[in-house]
Amino acid sequence: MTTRLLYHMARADFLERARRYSFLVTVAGAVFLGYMINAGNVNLSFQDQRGILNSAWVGTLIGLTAAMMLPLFGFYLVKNTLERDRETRVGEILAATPLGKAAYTCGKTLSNFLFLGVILAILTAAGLLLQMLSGEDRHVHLAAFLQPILWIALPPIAVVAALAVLFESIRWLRGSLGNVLFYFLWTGLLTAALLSPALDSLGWHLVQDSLLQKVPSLQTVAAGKVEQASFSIGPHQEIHKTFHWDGIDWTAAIVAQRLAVAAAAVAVALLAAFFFGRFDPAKEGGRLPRAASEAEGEAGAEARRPRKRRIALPSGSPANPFLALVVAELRLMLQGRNFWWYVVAAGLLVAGTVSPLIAIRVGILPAAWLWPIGLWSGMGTREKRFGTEELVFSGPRPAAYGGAAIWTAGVLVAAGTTLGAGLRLLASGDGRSFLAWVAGCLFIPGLAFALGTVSGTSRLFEVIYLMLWYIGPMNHVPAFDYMGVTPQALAQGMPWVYLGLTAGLVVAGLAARGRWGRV
Amino acid sequence: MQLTIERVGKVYKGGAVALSDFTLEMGPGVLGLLGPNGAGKSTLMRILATITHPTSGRVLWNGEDVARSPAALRASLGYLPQDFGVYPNLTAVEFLEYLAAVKGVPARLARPRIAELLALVNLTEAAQRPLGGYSGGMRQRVGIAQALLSDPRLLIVDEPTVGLDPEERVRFRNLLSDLSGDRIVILSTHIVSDVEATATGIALIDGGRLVDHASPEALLAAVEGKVWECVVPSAELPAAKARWLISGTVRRGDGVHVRAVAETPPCAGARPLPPTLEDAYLYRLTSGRAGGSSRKAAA
Repeated sequence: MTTRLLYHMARADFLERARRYSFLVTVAGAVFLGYMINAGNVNLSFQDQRGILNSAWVGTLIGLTAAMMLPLFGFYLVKNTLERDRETRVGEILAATPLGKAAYTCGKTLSNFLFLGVILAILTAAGLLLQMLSGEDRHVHLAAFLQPILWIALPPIAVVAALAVLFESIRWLRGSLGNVLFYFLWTGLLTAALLSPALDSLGWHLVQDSLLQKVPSLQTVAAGKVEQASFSIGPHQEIHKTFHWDGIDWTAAIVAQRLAVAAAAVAVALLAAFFFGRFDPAKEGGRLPRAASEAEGEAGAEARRPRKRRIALPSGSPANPFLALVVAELRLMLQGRNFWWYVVAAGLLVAGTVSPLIAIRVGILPAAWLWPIGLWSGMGTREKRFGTEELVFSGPRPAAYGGAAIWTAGVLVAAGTTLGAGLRLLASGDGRSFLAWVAGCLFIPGLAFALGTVSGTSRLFEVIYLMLWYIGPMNHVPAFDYMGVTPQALAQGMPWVYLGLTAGLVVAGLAARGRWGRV
Repeated sequence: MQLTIERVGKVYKGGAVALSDFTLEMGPGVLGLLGPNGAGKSTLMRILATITHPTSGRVLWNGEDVARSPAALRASLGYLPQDFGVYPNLTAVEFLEYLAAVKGVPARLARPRIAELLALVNLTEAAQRPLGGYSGGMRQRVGIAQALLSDPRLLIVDEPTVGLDPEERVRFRNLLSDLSGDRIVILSTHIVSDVEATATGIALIDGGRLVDHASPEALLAAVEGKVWECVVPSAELPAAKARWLISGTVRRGDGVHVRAVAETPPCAGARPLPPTLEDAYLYRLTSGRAGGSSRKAAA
């Protein structure tokens, strides 16, 4: 594994990404986050106190923001580098070269790291801007500003860059299941980091300990109350007092601790090499590779050509063409699910039919509407993913008719997997809960259809839906409770809001599909 | 320089047999690998290119088992897959620079070689354009250039002329012939004329098995005196196709001129024709399927 090899692997991959339209969207997202920081919507405070906006404080704010937020979104942004080689079939060329598996996974990790590094660079620039514009301390100490970004943010970003490659290298983690598992893995790691210094891979406790150690006013606040610093995203917090803090003392021990996190990234990248199948078709999918069904041959075809006969194709059309299309979309959605997927879905369906209503609301319904995420996330993306646009969009009314059929198939999945629960809610006479169930059945596929059609990829829906699911039904935030598991959401009429949103999403999806078909 | 395939078999998950007991030995020269669709050509190519392992048998490169130590073969290999892709947002130069690094081409050699190869495949003027805007034929030429990047001793090209216009096709055939002097070139194709123009040896593959391995001359000799031209009315063509092994038809004013391969004159007034490799291919393939005595071939 040479430096030149790693450089060229990372460069080619990075250029390929950076020249895509989606990169501009990513940059725009990073600029928006930078704006949020400048607008005071990302805060680091200790009760009602915060540090004056000097280089150390702003650098730490940027470092923590990046360490906590970038890995989650970054994972989904970069988890496509092996997929690209697989789909463009560049992988087959690479597999026939002396390129080692470890060099490949490390090169791809480096490329992921660079990509996320661009976002971090934008946030860093935003941090400098914040320090200048705030005017609290305009003197820039580069070391104090950059060290927290370097030691706090970069190691977790490196780990996520490697984890994305690892997830892509393991067959069953490549798709929706991997995306869902990562979400829980990351929220678990985040929680562990915040709760325990021993499990703090994000450097949160380094900041907190340094604050307590160096700022006397905080020691008074903390005395006897075991108060903690807080990091929040949202409107301005009420700050009554500011203090001067010159940052963490980056001792050799602390640096070594952060380097250990970075070393974990290398270990993960090497672990990925162990699982990476080197694009061997026998390992990739277990099916006969595409090229095994080779192109039609001249001579061979002549020798084996069947006798010429008049071909009479059956004529006529289905009694209900829309229904036929919905059934076809449903079959495409369910295609490839293994036996155990159906077992779990059936288990959730039965549980929703026989469990007490409270269990249905708080546990079974949320679980049953997370399980088919892989089915919904393919909605609106299939034509692009499998290169069937020209076939599909040359058919009759592909945008409106086809789009409506896709959404309807998604609604059938949502309703079908929770039918028992829905009927129980209806039978209980709780009209508002039943309305919320109907809204959920319509909203989830609407969201999937719109996001899939607009982005052309399944990941956007997976990320947004997971966050929505986690914040709303799981953490009982009424505004995000699209399935009505909290009484507050029902009282506030959220089902009606989500029904309205659904209409907007479906229209947006249909419009995007119409435009897509004309491209 | 020797490539040896010893009783190689490949069975995919689900039991699909792609190759079975395939044995072949190759030295420098162009080996044309001919076979119908689904014969196992691409699977064999992938095994030789170390992308997939055989489920039985072994492949030896200069006496070394490539499954155990693929590095030596990979360092000497240029591979053009049948169905390959490119990074659409890279230019041809950037893409080739990347692959040069991956293939271990020294940095000082990479740039001049890339320029030379792009000139060879007639892409110098398009070299700085993103590959996403290339036509199918242009992409194919980029594929050919990348296969030659490391000056390979073993060149494996799978359906290389697909998508090339006639001029580029001739150009590529000539290139293959020029390259073959001190290397092993394996040309897998279903286009018999490509093989006819370049191959020094031909391996016929069908149903995952080696049907024949011979020189083009030997294959032609086997079908000498067995190629005929019959003129039949258009209405009788389906019946003729059912009866004879036909390698070509041309409609003329006096009827359809049918080129048939048969042991004896298939019709009254049959005119003997000099055989082509396509005739030989059909004859050998058909007789191979029927255990050496095809109904049609014997007609």
